[in-house]
Amino acid sequence: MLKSRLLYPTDEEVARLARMECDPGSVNRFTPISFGFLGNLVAVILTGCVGLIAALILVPVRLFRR
Amino acid sequence: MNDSELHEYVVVGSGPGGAIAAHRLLELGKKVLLIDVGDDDPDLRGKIPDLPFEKLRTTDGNQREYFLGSAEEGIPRGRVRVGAHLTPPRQFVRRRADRILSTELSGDTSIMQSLALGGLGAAWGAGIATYSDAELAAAGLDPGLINSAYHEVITRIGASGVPCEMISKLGNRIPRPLPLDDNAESVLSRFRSLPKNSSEHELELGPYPLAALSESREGREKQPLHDMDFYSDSRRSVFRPRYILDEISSHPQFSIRRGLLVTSIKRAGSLMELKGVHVDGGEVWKLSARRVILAAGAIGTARILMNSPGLGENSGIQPLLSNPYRYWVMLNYPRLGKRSEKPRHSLAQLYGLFRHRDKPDSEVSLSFYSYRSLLLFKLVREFPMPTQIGLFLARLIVDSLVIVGVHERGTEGRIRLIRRSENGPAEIRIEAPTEIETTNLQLKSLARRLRGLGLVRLAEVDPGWGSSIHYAGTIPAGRAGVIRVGSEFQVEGCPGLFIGDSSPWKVLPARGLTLTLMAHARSVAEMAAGESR
Repeated sequence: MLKSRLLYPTDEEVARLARMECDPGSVNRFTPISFGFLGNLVAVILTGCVGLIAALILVPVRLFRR
Repeated sequence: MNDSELHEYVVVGSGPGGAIAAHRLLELGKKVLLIDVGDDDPDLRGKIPDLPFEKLRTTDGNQREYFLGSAEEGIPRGRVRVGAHLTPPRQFVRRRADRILSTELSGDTSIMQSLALGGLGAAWGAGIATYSDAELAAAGLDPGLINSAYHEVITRIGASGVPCEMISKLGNRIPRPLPLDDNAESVLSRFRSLPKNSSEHELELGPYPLAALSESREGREKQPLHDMDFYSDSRRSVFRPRYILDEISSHPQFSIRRGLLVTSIKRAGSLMELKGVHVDGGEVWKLSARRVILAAGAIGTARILMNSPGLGENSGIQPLLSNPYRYWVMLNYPRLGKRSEKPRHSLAQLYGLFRHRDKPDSEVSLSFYSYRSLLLFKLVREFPMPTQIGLFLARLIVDSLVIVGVHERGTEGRIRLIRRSENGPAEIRIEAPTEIETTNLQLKSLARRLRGLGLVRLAEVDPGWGSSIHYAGTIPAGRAGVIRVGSEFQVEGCPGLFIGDSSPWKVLPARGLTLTLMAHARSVAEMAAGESR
């Protein structure tokens, strides 16, 4: 329950992102990012940590909205 | 169509087996009628520009129509199940079957059926593999017949690859392979530079042999490396059964009727009588034939026979083989931060065969895909974080992502008849095996071996038993049961009824079945025509 509903993007959020991804004007926001091996490695670790913390912070908000 | 209509040869089903069987019968001078529902979606296919994915993304204002679909059916919702890879232009493959065929599924079962033109072959990943002689014999197939049919089928459908263990029966007569992308090339070069197979398990790895053209031929062009294979193939470079049907459509001895669903079959003297419904109007139709080749797919053929008077009326349960399947989302970390520059296709890049050194039966088959044209939002939905942060993460890793599909040897579930229908298809229930053979230890060894190649597993997705879309063994040849099939794949008591799909196979090896299915259909067509041996 926690996994499927609260930490992950909702279907509506995913749908909004999908619509944006299929807009030719937004293509630059979806291209691969390259900072070199070390740059991407550090960025992946930091993004993963920040993302997970943000998801945890959002849990009460999502619970409130349900 | 009236009850007195009589045909010489009728083929039921337009999938890989049906198309090849019809073609072979025509080669042998027979008159053939092919019957199928034959659903298709050519309009949507026609709206996709013949451009590389990257170019199309910046230029086509209508891309939402085929990437997401008019009802946004391309946006997955809920748990990943079978067919998640079907983009809107390919969703016709299952559309009619989902609406018309009543199929209950037990717990963790995830099945795809098709009533489309080309059947499940319309969504085939195009990976080709040959079975060993031991595997063919275990399946109940004649190695001599199938080995020679492999060559004929490959010539017919077109393929590319390098001689390797996956297609050991094809020798070196296959055209050069499609180029690998940067991601796959790096994995393969690491594999070749490391010491081989020091553990009790051995791994083979190489470019995946594909039913895709690296050289143009009549009516079809070589693979353009547009990374659009999940959406479109305007150059017909990847084989689909409908290309064979197009080829034979003008043959004076061939006719095809679409919109017809076969629901039962029975013997009437020396003839076979087929009965079914028009899928659009619901009217019942009948026709007779001297010889019938059933190639409706393992589940479809079982559904027809279990509903047939005098054949399956006492059959409440039939077996069903399917390869357990899962896929691993893996990071090819040595390539992290490097851009993928080469043009690429989006079919499987590499194959792998992993097995215990002393147990060939333990073989696990792997297919390695790179990820780009399936769009980033499908990745982001799998990350436990807000979408914008997830999008940033996806952009960091997408060029070094590898999706590894893992197929195991087929395990046996069941098809249970719920209700027969006199004027429609039978209702069935499909049940996963109660005790799934566990190969966890072997998969742990595999994950370790891949880690040695720089591939780190980020996630495992198991869409459920049946999600491999590989089905067989519903009417196993030679096995005691109510519906019995002989060694020449004739249904006992019905000398005019042949099975041209994977229903009679007794085992299902881990390697993909489609090429062997086509070779089998070809040899069954020869038996039906009285031309075998």
